[in-house]
Amino acid sequence: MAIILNLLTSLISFLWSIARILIPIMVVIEIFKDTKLIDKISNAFRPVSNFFTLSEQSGISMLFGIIFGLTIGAGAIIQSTKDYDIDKRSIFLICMFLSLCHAVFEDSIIFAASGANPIALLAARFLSATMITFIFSRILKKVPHEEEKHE
Amino acid sequence: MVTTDTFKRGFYKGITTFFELSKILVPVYIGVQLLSISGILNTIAGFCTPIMSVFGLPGEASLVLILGYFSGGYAALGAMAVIELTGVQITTLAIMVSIAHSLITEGAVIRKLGVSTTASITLRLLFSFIMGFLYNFIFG
Repeated sequence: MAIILNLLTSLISFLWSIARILIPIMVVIEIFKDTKLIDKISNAFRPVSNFFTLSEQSGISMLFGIIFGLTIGAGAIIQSTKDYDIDKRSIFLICMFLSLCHAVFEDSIIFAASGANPIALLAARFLSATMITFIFSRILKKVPHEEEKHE
Repeated sequence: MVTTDTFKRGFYKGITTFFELSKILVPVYIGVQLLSISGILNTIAGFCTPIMSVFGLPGEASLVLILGYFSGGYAALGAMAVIELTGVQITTLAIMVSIAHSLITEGAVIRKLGVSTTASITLRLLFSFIMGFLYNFIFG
């Protein structure tokens, strides 16, 4: 009985830890959209998107994932695929990057607090993520005209 | 223009996305917790003890890695606190766990996006080993 109770409490706090970030982020994204700020952020992020040959609207989901974590990034991707026509190739590349490198602030802080070197952590994650995503982006060819598709 | 409608829309999208993610997060999370409670993770860690020296780590560190890989970063931190480690060993473990953690849960999230879970998990384990090995090799 105690085990089930324990499991339920940890499940609820796990879900709460996602909801309390995901819901505000979605509100922030809507504010960004309505103020056109999203275009500015996408523009600022464009060099990165171009480097990994990502489609334009998907860069912002990657940014959210890097800052807030894989689940939040995934939420942003799910939402943005409803609003825009994002190609599978970009989603794959973002997933590969975020698999290795996400929630960089939170992770670095909690591990640094227990004595790890945060610079080494960040460097190891960014290096591996950048390397592998770059390699995949050059192996996987863009499907022609994919971005011109409109629903 | 930001209106109350902006907030309503954002909140609605937040809730629906949350429920969409919960459909996979809840069952997977419970499964992993049961794996942990049942002691299966300790058994797996036992098998991995001999290879820890590759990363310049003591045998007990295998539990930190296994907990991190299956359960998550916080579980790994808890386990890390009870064993004696040098600064380099702590950073080696932190690198390995921060690259690869919560593999089942986050793998399910990746799956939800239509991307291969196997590709994601393989990549993460591979780089967890490579970076852990390299850090210890260079700084250890």
